[in-house]
Amino acid sequence: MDWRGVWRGLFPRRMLRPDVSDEISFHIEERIRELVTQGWGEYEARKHVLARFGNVDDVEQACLEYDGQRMAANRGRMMMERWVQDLRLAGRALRRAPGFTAVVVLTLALGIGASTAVFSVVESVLLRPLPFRDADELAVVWQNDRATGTVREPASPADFDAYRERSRSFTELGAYYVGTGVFSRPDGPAHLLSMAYVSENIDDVLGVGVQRGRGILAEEDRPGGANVVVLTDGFWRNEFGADADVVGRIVTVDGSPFEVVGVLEPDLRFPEPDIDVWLPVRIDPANQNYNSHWAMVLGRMAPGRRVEDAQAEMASIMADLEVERPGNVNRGAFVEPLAEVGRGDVRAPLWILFSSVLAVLLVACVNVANLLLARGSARRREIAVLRAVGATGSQLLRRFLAEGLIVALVSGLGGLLVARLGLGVLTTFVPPEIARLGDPALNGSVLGFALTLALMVGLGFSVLPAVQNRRGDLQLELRDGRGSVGSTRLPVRRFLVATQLAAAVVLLITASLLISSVRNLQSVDLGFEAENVLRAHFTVPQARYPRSFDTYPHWPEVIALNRRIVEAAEGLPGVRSAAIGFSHPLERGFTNSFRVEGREYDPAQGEISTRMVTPEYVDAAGLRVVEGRFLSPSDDTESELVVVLNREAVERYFPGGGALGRRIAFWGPTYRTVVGVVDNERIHGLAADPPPAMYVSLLQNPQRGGELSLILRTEVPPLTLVSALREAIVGVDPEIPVYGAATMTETIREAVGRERFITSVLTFFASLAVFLAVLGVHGVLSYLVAQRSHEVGVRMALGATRGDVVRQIVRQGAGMALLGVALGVGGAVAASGILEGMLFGVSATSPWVYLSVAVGLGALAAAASALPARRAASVDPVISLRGD
Amino acid sequence: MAVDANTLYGTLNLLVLQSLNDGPLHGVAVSRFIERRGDGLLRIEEGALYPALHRLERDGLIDGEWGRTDENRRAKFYRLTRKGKRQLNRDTQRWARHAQAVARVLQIAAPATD
Repeated sequence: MDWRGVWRGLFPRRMLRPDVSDEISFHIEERIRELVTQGWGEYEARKHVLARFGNVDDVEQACLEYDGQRMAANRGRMMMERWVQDLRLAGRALRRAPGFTAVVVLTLALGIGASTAVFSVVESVLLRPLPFRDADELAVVWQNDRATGTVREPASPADFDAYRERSRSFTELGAYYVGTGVFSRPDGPAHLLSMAYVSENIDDVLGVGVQRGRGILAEEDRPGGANVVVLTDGFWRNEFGADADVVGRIVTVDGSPFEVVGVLEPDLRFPEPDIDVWLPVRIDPANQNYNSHWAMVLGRMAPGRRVEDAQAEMASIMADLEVERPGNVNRGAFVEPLAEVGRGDVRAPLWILFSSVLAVLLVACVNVANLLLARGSARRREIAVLRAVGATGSQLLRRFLAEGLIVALVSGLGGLLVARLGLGVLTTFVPPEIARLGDPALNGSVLGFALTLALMVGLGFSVLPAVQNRRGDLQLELRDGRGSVGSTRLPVRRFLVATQLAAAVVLLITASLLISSVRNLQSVDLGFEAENVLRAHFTVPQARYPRSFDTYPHWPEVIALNRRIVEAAEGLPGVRSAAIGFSHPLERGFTNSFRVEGREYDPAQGEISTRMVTPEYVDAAGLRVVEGRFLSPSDDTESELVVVLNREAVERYFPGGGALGRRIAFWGPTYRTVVGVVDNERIHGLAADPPPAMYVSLLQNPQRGGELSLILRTEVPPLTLVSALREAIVGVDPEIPVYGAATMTETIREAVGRERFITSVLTFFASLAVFLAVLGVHGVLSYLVAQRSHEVGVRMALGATRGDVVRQIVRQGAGMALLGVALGVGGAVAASGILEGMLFGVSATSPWVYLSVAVGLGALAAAASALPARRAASVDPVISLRGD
Repeated sequence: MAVDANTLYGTLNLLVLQSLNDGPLHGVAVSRFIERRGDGLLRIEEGALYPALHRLERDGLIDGEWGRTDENRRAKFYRLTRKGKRQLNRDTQRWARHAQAVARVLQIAAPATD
């Protein structure tokens, strides 16, 4: 390619000097001729003229000066004018083919729009930096439990104190946990409060501050410190109407008075997006309970320290603590950058989605490329004419670039429109666990992404016809427009279509695998009955129901409240049974270490999941009693302390059977008798096998925390009971808010929310890719048939049957399909490693799925080639030959 | 007595524009026009014509283009642009007013304007 020619074509510039000298010498020669015709001698004439003219060099210099200025001013304008001209011509060319243009622009706009929408989710969740100062220095220090294999557990407060004392990798370590409380004000109903209990230094760790008042002081973050609360910006605006005098006000949290000391800076959402207030965490240095793990630990690493350094240091601290403290056996440390927390799980699914949408874009682009190639062949005559009248290669290139630019701009704008709509749809499907990680928006980086995509596509749109028209025998083209129809181009097109099919195959296989995975997830044996169950949360204002740890479990007010709430709920028409649970089905809840009576305590046995429920839970949740009995209303603080195990616990801890009547101790030295065994209820989501668990009665062991769940088995559609339930509980205590009502089936859907989201979006993309790919096969074959009608006519004239013709075309289609399917299957196998971890109950290389997709898509491709084949067969040899 | 047109501010520009009023001319023709219409009274140093032409071209009042003379010689022809036409009208009126005013002061007959 003549790049210099191209450059000059794009950016024209004229040589100035010869112009001016020519002009002046013309003047002088003309004057001399004038005098000579009047009879002057040549020499005298020249002398006279030059004298009259003045200094030629000065004149020339001055002229060049002005010309230079004019050129400088004009160059920009001239270039603009040329481009405007090119754009106008290009626009006219595109308008002359409205169908072509519309299909191209729509296809590209859809592709660009879908990619942009997905990118904006990726950007907000994975790429956007955290809004904290030097956020890459922030890391969460988790603990892991080698006995149970769990990772990402909080630390015990005693461990947190040890970290602070011993760590050198972190300049600052803070602790926090998230809880709920009741916010009541004299002038309105009580409602739920999302609270973060934070250590006083957490703002220093994060590098954030307050917009009003102050943060929590060290003396307030101590047992017995003053009750203070810091509001988040959102809570301050919603609840206090952004009252400028809010600092100093007294508010009621969980029945106790708290002083508002400050308002956090806007846009600060820590640790969760919907936190209302920060309260002091008040870790008691005297509390040496190593077994209660609730403190989330966040640290700021010293400058220059890497996560690996911090990991090594915390691991060695934990190893020391294992030796020093019996309760720390089996516990290790896991340091995770804050930016990674919660993102690790969604990274692979989101990148898979992003790759899929790019694959759809690729498929769309191939269709456009095929259209372009087909149109390019049709345009060869037009181009040849342009060449014949003197258009240079660079002028043609500029023309193609102009067309590409128009297509890029229009489809880019269309793409943004599609992205806006698509993002609206997408965000309604995004499960909360992904949504809380980011707030997708069409911001600068997303617009940049869309623009880049559009320009890349536009460039491709321009370069393709330019390359196609690079060489061309002018005479041949002009003599016969069909002379050198792009037969050499056909292998390229077949390969493009095969690529398309391959992308569609990969997407379809991925989608099918995910669909069967979700189906498997949703059909696991839950161990409870989810139909017709309503689940809601409520929070008890703790100050109103006295609880002294000295007298536990003799907390008559709390137990009486539990009974009254169950009765109120069961009394509602349409309710078959109602129960309170500290955790509800599918909820992880908490674990305890325990000892079996008559055995040495074995730290390696791990902890057991503790389910604190009222006796009606067995009916409300629909558990299956395998042996003995469930908890009974008569199990109270005066009777024998009892516990019910799940099957997993029995199999693991009493493998020989005979669990009934055995006694186990947890929460201190008190033993409780095993009175029954129930089938495993899924509590670690749908995919994970249920861990060992035990059920204890809330009537015998009242709850120590504030938030509980109500589980109602109903005879009517569960959600119709929500407001009646709320009123019934207000009837028990007006300061108990009921919230978060959902059916159990909805909870199950939420439990697979991420899987369902990825699956449905990917299925949509896969269908789109299949549709576009089939369109591609059909398009290329139709083109082939149209171009070959002459050849078909000859063959039929020579005796080929219609069947022969159809077979030939279908064979072409089948060839493309075979290549595409083979490439796609290969690609899917190569990508199966990424998918394996996301699948449940189906292998990423499931031959059944691969086979059905291959056969299905192959059949579709064959069907897509049947139509053009029939058209070919209907060619009338007489007409097609006469067309010559 | 010949008047040196270069010494009258802006005069040369006005003369050039006026010369092109009836159609495109090359530089030699412009100087002939000025010679002829000024009855030889207005004399310009011929070389000075070209910077003036190029300055007017720069300012977009005239447009230059290479063409052929009647004798088939290559020459650069200048024509008035629309902007140049407007400028010519404005300057002609201004010049006439100016000349009238000067004439009144000198108590002589005002020159006729085109």
